[in-house]
Amino acid sequence: MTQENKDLDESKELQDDAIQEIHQNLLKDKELPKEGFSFLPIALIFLFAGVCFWGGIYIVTHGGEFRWDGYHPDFVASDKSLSIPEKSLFEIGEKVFIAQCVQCHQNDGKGIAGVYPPLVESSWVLGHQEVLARILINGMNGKVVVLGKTYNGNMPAFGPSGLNLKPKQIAGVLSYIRQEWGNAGSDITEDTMKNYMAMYNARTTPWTSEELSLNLSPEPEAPSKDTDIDISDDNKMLDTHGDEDHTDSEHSNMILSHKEHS
Amino acid sequence: MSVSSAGSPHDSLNTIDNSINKAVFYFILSAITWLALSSLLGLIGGIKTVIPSFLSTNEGFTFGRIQAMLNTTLLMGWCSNAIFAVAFWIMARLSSTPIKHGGILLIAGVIWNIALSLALIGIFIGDLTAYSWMEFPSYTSGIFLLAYTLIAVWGIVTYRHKQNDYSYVSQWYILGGLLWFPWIFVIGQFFINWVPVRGVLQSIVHAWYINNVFYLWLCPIALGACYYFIPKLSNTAIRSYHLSALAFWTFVLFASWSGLTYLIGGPVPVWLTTTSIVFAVSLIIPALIFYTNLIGTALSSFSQFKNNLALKFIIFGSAAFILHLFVKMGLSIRSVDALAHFTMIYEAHHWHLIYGFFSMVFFGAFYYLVPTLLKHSYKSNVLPNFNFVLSALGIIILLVALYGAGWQQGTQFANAELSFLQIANDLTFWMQLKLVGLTILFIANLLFAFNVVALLLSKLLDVLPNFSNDEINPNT
Repeated sequence: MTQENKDLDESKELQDDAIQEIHQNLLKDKELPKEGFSFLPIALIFLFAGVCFWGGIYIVTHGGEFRWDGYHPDFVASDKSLSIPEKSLFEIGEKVFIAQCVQCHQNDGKGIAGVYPPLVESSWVLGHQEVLARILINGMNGKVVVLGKTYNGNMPAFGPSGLNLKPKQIAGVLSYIRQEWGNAGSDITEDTMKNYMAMYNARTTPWTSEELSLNLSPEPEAPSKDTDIDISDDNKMLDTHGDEDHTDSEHSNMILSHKEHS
Repeated sequence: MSVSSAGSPHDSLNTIDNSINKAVFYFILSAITWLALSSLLGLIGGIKTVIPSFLSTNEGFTFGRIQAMLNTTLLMGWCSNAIFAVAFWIMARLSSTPIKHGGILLIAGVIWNIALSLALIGIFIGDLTAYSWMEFPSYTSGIFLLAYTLIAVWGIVTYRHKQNDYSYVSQWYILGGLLWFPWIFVIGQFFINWVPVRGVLQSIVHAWYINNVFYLWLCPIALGACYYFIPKLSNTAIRSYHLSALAFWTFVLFASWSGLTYLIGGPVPVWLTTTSIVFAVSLIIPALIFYTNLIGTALSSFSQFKNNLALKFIIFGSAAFILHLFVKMGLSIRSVDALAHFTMIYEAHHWHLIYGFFSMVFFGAFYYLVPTLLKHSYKSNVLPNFNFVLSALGIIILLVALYGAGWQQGTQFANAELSFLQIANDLTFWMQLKLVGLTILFIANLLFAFNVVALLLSKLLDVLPNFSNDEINPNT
């Protein structure tokens, strides 16, 4: 039997409790410099640091900036403009209208009889663009005749002297009311609106209905985008929301493109 | 029959061993049965790559289903049962605590094997899923989970009631593996079979699942076994043991993040693959520590290494594992992956881990465990040694064949003038070599099963005449 069990002589082996004790002691002794112990940890520390350094650089340069839409190792987020569909003036205007105008002019654009004038089929709305622009930029008070009825209300200003909307928003809401509810007016473009705002932003008093029809400039050929006067710089100084506008468009223009692989 | 002088440490060892030996033997026998089946399936698959018309009359024997059954038997049959056998025993030994309720362990083991049998029948009749290494039909996953819960809880309970104040590195790995597997399994099943996520997210979950089943389930337990057996059998302390904690945490952290290198070049956000590449390359830290801890210890006691069969298997496995990690780092580099992707290199890499590392370590563990539990050793070491030679030779030939085939495939894929058929035809030599490797492994595995069963039988024959002998009664 002893012959048969020669391989089972556990005295030649480390016992289970000995495994634990010996190694536990090794943990305590780790500070002591021993033969063969010292080189590896130092090399490991350097290696670890090197791996971390390389890994960090590699993730930054080839990690697609952690974006869901970066699929190529050489991906960089580019600010080259691409054709991201922009919202139409009508859609912008609808939003502004719902936020600012429905309280008085109502969802159906018919206003409240005797108090707030209707927009549907109104000649003020469908008439000269500059008239409409003046009302929005500076507001209007006093008596006004709409579709045969006289109203005496107080239309607030939405230009810099009032709610300070951006040219695009005013252009949008005007285009919206000229085309919704069966109205068949033209768009009032953003450029046209910038033009008008450059003219009337400085004015602080609201218009009266008599004043509105005086000194009108010729109506622009809607919806032409060409304007003769470059007023953008001028406008930027006046438009306090200019910066925000700028960032918005930059945002929407941030497009993924893959850098050219050389 | 007593092994040596009947001192008290041996009595307590006997108590521990007896508390678990029925369950351990059940798992050992299950494991070698599934191993034999898997090597048969591997052989059939290998023959089919050389002679495609072989066994082609039944759709259950088509290559895809054979491959699915092979993966399932290997992972859920051989590997898992071997883990259950060895991990609990090591855990009980190191915690100096008997496993309580070994009976429940046994019942859970039966449930697990029923689930696996159902899964194999399901795959055979065509209920397999499309995801490699989780091909078993989704209706079996609940049974696997139930059985696993009943099994794993005893390992954790044993650790909780350990008698020593300190814990050894093997215990960390085993406890970690036992706790990580259910999480990996449930996440994989949940997002792929039960409530499938959509689009490329499936591939991401799948890559994560494969990687973690390999590196957070098979590897920790096998590493735990290496850390247990190498110092024990070579009778020396682990070299640079204080680094093993660093190796443990870095390996777990880096390996679990490194899975998405399987998707390099795929339609997934690139930060996922880039992060995985960085973590895969970082595996060099634990790999170097494993080299010092495991190979370094073995080399410092070379004489034992030469004469001890179990140690030979385990050292071979450890060396294969370190090589495997370096191959993994290499494959994670984008320019290498561009060549290796879609080739047999990845198949080779899986064999490298499952057979080169895991199976070799567990063969060694079994060759130690079975005689120890039986208190009955081999009269002659010729057949077990022959097993080692065959296994080592077989896996080396298989890996050379598959890595070589993959490399040739990759270079030819990059050449637009070659047709796919031409490339496939050019692989004939490598596929024949693969078949040679699989045949040798088939013989080696059968020899392994024979050796284990023969030892059991010879013990039984020894015992039967004097059945009343108290010492072999596990209840004492």
